[in-house]
Amino acid sequence: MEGKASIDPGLRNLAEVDRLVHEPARLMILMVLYTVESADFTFLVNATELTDGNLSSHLSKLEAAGYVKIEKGYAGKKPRTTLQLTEEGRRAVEAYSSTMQQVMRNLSK
Amino acid sequence: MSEMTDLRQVQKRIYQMMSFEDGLFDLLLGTIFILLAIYPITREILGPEWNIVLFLGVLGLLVVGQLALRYFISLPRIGYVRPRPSPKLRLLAIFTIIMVLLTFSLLLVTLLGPGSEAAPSGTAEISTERSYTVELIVLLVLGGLFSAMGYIFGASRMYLYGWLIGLANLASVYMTHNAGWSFNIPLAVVAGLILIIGFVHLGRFLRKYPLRTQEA
Repeated sequence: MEGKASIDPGLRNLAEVDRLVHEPARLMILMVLYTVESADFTFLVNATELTDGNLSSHLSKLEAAGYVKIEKGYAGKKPRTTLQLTEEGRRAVEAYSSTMQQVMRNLSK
Repeated sequence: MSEMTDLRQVQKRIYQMMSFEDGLFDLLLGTIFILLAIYPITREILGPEWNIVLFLGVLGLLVVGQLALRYFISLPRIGYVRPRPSPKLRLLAIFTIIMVLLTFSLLLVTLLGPGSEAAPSGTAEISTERSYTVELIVLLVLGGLFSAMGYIFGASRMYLYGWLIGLANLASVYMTHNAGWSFNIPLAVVAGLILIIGFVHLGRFLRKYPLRTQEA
């Protein structure tokens, strides 16, 4: 208890970071989707330079958390997977950004 | 924070991927300026009215061709993306359209105006009376427009294009007026350079983004 009380508020901020967002590959995916309305799987592979399998695995986790909406459809005869950040995902990125800025400010002191 | 975690940088990179990475914009630009460079020659052959018809017809074909190439070659490789609508993006689109129209109007005024007509070969006259105010304005507008495009979309070669085209335009008009050149050689050289850069980017793009057979 004594130890907890002495934790620096900056460090506590860091402990509260959303780990789902904090992972570098997922953070890249979320940041790309944050800046666009929607993108397809191919664009996301090119923008993040992740492998197909890696991207799929991270997208599944983000979808399960409700951060990303995945729609499978067709463009002509070719299958196309469209990805979009949900409102919850958008809020998660903003909360993460705000927390990290706070942490960075404390670190630079 | 690193560059990749800066949202503006991410957005800039996405604009760059969507607009300039395939080199098609360079190819369109280079071809338009080749057309402008040979404009005096085609005007002499076809006459002013048919020349304008030819110019606008070819320009239309080029724009349609570029859209088709983008749809069939670029998009399947790079992927589809819908930019996030924002007042800033709309303002940017309006600003870009106005500036592009203004630039082409100024270029057409300079290249097609009565003062730009080439003297027949062998009868070059040295004139010191002609003012180059319009060409200097074109230079500044082009330099400013392309620099703004380069900055906003993260395509650094646009800075070079703007100033080079502006300077080539000034040099072309000067040489036509003072040395009796019937062909806008400086503009053709710059247009050729832009075309080469465009082809290099297209080649690199095709190698970097092969056609994907299926999605994961």
